[in-house]
Amino acid sequence: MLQNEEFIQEFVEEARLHTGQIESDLLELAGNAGDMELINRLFRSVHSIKGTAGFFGLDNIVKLSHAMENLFGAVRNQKIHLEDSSIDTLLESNDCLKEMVEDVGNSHEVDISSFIQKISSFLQEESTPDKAKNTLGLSHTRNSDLRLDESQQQQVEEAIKHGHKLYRIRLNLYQDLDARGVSPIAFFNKIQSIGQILESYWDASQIEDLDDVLTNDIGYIFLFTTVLEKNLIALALDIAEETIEELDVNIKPGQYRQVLLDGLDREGNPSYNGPKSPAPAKKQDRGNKKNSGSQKSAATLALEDSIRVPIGLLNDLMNLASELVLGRNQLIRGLEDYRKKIEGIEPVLQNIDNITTQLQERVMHTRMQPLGNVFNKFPRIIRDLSRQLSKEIRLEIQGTQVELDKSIIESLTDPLTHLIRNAADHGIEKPEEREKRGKDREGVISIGAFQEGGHVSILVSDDGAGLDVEALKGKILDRELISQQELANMTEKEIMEQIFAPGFSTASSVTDVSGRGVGMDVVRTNIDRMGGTIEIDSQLGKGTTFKLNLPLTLAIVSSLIVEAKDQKFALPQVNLQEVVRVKPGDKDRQIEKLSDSPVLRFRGGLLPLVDLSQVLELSSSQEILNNFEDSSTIIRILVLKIGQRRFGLIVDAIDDDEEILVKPLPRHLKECRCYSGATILGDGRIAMILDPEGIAGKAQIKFSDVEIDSPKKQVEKSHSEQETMLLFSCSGNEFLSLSLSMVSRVEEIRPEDIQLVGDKEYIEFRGRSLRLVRPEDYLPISENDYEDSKLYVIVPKLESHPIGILIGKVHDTVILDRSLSRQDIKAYGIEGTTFWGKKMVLLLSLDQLFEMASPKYHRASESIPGKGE
Amino acid sequence: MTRKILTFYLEGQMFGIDIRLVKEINRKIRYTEIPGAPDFIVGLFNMRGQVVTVLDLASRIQGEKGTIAQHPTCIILKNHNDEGEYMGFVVDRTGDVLDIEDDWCEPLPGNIKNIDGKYIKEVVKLEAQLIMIVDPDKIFS
Repeated sequence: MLQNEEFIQEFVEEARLHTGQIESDLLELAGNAGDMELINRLFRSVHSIKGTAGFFGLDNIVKLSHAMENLFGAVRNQKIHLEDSSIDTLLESNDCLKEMVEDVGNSHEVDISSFIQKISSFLQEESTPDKAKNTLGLSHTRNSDLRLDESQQQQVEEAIKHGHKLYRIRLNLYQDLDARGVSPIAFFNKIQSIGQILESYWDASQIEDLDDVLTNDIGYIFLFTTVLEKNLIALALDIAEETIEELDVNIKPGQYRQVLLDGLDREGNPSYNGPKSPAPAKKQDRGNKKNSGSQKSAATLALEDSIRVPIGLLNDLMNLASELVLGRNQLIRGLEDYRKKIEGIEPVLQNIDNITTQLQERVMHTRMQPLGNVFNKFPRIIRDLSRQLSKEIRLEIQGTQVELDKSIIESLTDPLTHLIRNAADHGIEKPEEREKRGKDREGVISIGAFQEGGHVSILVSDDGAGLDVEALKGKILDRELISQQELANMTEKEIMEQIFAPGFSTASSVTDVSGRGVGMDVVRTNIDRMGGTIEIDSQLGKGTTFKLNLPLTLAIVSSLIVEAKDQKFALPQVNLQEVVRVKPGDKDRQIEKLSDSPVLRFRGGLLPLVDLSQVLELSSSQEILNNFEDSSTIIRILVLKIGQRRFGLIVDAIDDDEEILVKPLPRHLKECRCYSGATILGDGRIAMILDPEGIAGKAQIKFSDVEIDSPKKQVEKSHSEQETMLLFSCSGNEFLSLSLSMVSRVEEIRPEDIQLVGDKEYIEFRGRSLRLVRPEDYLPISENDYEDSKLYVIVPKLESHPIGILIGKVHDTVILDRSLSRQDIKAYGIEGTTFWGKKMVLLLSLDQLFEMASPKYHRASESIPGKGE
Repeated sequence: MTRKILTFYLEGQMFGIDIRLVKEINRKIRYTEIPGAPDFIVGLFNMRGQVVTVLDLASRIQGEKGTIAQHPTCIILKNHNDEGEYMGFVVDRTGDVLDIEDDWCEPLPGNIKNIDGKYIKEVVKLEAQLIMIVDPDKIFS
């Protein structure tokens, strides 16, 4: 009856939470039918929906939730026992509730009769027909037909026994709530926090026709029990005392009904809108006042622990925080020359620097949501699927508390659902088959999440049949995805990855569950779009595991700033595989032309090249070609990958790594194809974020399978055994090395630049303070004084709390065989040793070193050295 | 009814816009040109952390690219559709804010050349001159 949009929205959000809770509770109940705690919770959830829906006159929602409530009431009183079939019905009813809640405006048109019928049939089976009728008199009966069911009467008795008083409150909806901006939900919660609602009624008797709605108010009457005195209730609920009426409770059991009815009659003729409810739960089980009191305060606390904030506000906050970061950078840069002259400014700047960083991090966190929001959908899916497929499946979920950005959480639902369905449909075998293979009849699908450094990994695995590589080969050849010869050269893992190829489906037959033509390629595309990756691992007969790696947030992306024709662009690191410099006169590496199109021999394959300024039409193709001929310039090529495909992007200059805040692409620029968004750089200028896929499309690069696969194998080989390492020394003579992929840059500094803060050393690096560590302080290597006037700092990649490594000398970058490394020298901070020529080289472990240097921010177990992407 | 319009000049011609639609006027903006963008897009600029798409109104209305100063003046509109995206357009200079009456206005006459009529909401007849009122919804669509 209340039409206030905002309140209705609040109701919808609240009801959404409740229906979600009901679903997961019902599923849990299937395993533990006798769990009173669950039943009570279910009862409360349905009761809340019913109670609040009443304020808005959402009849259908009230009726259906009431029917469900009755059923739970009966279960609670152990009158009936819930079978699997009744849980199914309740799940379906809950689905219907969900639908109605999502579209409250049209909820009155939804046909709920079948659900109500089914639910009442369960009740009838177990209880006498008479009682069933009592509890389910659902139509708009006159108040003279009012029946309080047994449980309600019991409840009144119980309450009175414990010193509760019985009250009746009459409110005018518009005058008392709407006009004062009190939300019905909040009001309902308030009442629930001081007492228990037994019954509520509409009284629209003063309203004769539509015009009257404006002049006469709608009465909302409810009966409730509480220990409080009248004046305290008025105070607690913030309503006038006159609206509260105490009812006589000193009457014999059995007469309550009459008293209540009398009370109603004196009040004119309230129309009766659905029979009501026993009140919330725990109370009846334990039956004491104290208990109900503590339950209430706990509920109130939980409510106040979190508040709802519109997502737009959070985004604004995030923008502002990023602005603050830029502002801070400008401030520090601007004060550069005065820092030493102004006394006391240094710690202030440090402090602002620190706080700003933390603020940005915290604000980012507000957009994070637990993965549980996605995972919680799966028990239901598995339950339905195991029925449909007649398989026995157990679902194990871990890591529901791991948090990701809201937008990622939302776009994860589809891919994960697909993987889960696939696992149930194609992975897990039928129970008989499993027995034959000596496995448990019950298959296990597990889904788990954990955070690893700057990204989150999600594992979806099953203990089913696994992928049959031979069968896959047959299918690949059937569909002519790859030639036989290439197939022969592929590793098992590469063959398995073919399931991500478009047009591939391993299902031996199309089933109702999956095989609807939406394949794994869509899953991969979705994950790619989020800047994540997906890997597969499978063992025939043992099961399959998918591993998803996802960034924590979409909003901040680590990017490389590049230039074309003096204009800056940001290129997300996730797409960047490596940077190749073609020097003039280099015999081994030169750009060649195939009918005027530039290509590069790269790791045994040909890499198509695209010039950024040409794609963006900043310069003509002739200019570009001339450029190649001009043998005096170094050409910089970024090797970009899109899924399995790769191409080279030629840029004029490469600036810096920068963490950029992604702003959505303005709509007028959507057609340019080359951009995925915009960002604001440190100098306040806007730069476009390049979209490799769009660029490849615009440059009309056609990828053939040959290009895809041959270079790839080479790359993997080189990754697994050899790595480009930076070779350096500290103050001693030992040679240390670090994978180049983990190095952002090496800076030359002067010893006098180093500033001491406490016992820690810092330098100013790009307007920020950078903590320095000397490896010799932590590692078993010799320590001397530096004599040179030049020192170097290694700035590692992708550290949220960057630390620079102070070194004395850079020797070279060399390709070292990591597989040679052994554990001759054991020390925390050293991964192993290898040889460069005859010289022994210590392989540094960044994570362990940083953990020792700054245990607060660096936990080696949490960040595993990535490939620098 | 009395309304207020903000006047501005484009290629020597006076135009007006309903002042309620205007968020602010920024002078001497530093914008970034966007290679590959449609002709009527001047570029993007950073308004206190918000990305503003800057249009070349002259090219929109008069059909040919206007001359854009290196640091032009830009009228930025409120994002009334709540799209979270700000739009602005460059002008040669801004003029006064004028009070106008509804009955001073009438549709664009049929004989106007060099002006795309669909971007003009109405023409205000002042005693001294005529002002074309632009229709931002159409311009930014």
